[in-house]
Amino acid sequence: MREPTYFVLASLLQGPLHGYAIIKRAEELSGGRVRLATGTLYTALDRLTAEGYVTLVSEEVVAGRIRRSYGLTDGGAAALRAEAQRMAEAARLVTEWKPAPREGRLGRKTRTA
Amino acid sequence: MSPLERRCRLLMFTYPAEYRRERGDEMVGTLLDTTPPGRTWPRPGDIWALVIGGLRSRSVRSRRLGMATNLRLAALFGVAIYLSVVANGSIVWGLTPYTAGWPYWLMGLLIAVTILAAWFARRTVVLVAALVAATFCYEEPTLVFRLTPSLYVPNLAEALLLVLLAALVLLSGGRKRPPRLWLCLPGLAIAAALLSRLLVPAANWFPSTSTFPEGQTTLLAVVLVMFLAFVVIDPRPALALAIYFGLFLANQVIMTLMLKTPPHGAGLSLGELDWVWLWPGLVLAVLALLLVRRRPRAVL
Repeated sequence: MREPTYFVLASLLQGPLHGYAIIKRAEELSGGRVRLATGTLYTALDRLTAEGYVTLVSEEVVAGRIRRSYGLTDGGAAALRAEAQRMAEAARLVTEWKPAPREGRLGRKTRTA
Repeated sequence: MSPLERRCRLLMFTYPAEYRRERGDEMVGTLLDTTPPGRTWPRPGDIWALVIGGLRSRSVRSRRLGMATNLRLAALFGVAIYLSVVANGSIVWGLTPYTAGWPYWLMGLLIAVTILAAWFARRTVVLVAALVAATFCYEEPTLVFRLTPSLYVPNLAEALLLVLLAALVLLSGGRKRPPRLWLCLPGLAIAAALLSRLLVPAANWFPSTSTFPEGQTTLLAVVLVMFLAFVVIDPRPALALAIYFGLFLANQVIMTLMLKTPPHGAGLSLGELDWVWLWPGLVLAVLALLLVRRRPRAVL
């Protein structure tokens, strides 16, 4: 799963959001690192909807323009959790890595003996 | 409508028409919300993402239709390109002094109407237009060569291709028609050819009625580049161009063989034909077929 997709799904964890709100939430969750362009967001939403991870929740007209809100499906939530788990395990490989103790002179002698 | 909104809507044209109808307003609204106040254009990142997203959307849409439908649409477009070049030559020839006149331009007009019907009209209208145009095409030489009947060669290939065009529309219920944007490509070629002949009339007293825009090499190069660019987004027009090259060569071979039989007994030998056009046609066909066969990836 690509990072923008991950943050789109993560932004919907708290509940359905419309396009602009997803962009702001993703930016907030990533600490300003992920700034989704509008085209990228809707390409991602199209794919996620087709895959059944995201669904259209509501439509309303605001200032003469249609505004649609999208929500996370059970499948989307499961995929997001699986991805988070995978990343956590991958991160643990590094964060919990401890350097092996250096071998003493005796050990080396023993081995070469 | 503010200048920013107008430009956002302009950028949305990179997406297919049906996508714009479905999502256009919503995306423009989001773009307006995300663009900082005071800007008259969206941010460069947004512009880039819209262009890429639009092209990708066009590409994925064509590959979701399935091989049979895509081949049918490409064949329809290839036949339409061939017939549009015939129509172009016929209209120009009809409008040129020292020629028989009306049978030529009427034939061109009937072909052009049939092509437009194949894109926009109901199946029955397409069928009627094609049959009327095919009948006139077949009989047209008798009107032109009524004083010299020995020169009479019926426009059999054009008549058959008009019927084929209608058959391709009738197949699968005529539900899936080629995108309107495709009409721009042969339309541009015909418009440029007509314009060049109108602007330099002295050089075009005897324009070609050939099915290939002879002497229009620059124009052809431009059209070829456009088709190659289309390969990336949608390989079907490139496949159609390959079909056109094939039809062009087939017509040349048939005409050459016909002109060798009495009472004509003259003309080029087969070795003198423009076989060079076989290669770009084959390359385009192979490339386009490979791309048409590729399924859309579900990348998350």
